[in-house]
Amino acid sequence: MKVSTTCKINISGVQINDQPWDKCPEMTGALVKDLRKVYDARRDKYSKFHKMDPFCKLGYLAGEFLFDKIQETIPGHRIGMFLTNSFSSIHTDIAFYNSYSADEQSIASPSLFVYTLPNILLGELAIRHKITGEHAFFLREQFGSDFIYLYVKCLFDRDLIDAAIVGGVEVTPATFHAKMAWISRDETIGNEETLNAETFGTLLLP
Amino acid sequence: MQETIEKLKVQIIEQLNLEDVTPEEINPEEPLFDSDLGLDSIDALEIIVMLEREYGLKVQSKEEGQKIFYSLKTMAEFINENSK
Repeated sequence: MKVSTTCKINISGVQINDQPWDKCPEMTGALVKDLRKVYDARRDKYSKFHKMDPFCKLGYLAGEFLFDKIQETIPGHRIGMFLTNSFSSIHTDIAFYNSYSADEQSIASPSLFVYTLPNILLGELAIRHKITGEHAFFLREQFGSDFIYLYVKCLFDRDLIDAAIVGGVEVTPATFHAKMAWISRDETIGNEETLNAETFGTLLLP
Repeated sequence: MQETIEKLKVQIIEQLNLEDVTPEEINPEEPLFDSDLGLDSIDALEIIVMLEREYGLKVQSKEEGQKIFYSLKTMAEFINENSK
């Protein structure tokens, strides 16, 4: 198990493989505007981006930075995705609650509630990159790198997938951060040491 | 007409939660559902609800809806022609 590339996005900016992204715009902490600035700086043209909630946008952007660097050609059904966080889709959950609780005449907004689940983020990545391998978004009180490591290792050992996107994505009213990595089963890929549980955990520290 | 178009831009951005889109980025001549906005069937529902709530107008058929919702301009034309 080896890491090919990592991406970290937070209020400090964007880092690719622990190096600051040279095109990163100034982040102000205004979540929606910051994400839009990163999207524009990437010169992406993906119409669905504007429809996503901020949580999905953050995961989408981190995923795009990973895919920019990937050299391997792996079929979608051999790629897994395993993300984790502690607050689920709380940012959109609150917006959804506010959308119908204002008064008795309010109705729930469909375009909001379609995003009130963390696995929608995985769905957006899967649609974008045609990934159909096993995937899950785990909600854990503490960041679950040890759990993710064992999960991915199990799938690698059983020859069920050849690569995985792993990491954490968190958006709360107070903060936002994403740390994701592309992990390869092929030990000849990547220039890092073979990952173990400890180095895997260090890799994914937010 | 232009006033209706500008008002619709703001309403669609609000109704569809297009938080990072500005009114200036929406081209009223371009198709709503096959364009850079990335709108989908969920958004169509939202727009139908908005049309009824804000303008008291209902879409009578799928075929009529496809014509009305082709672009922001066709929506504005429908509103101007049918608003009391």
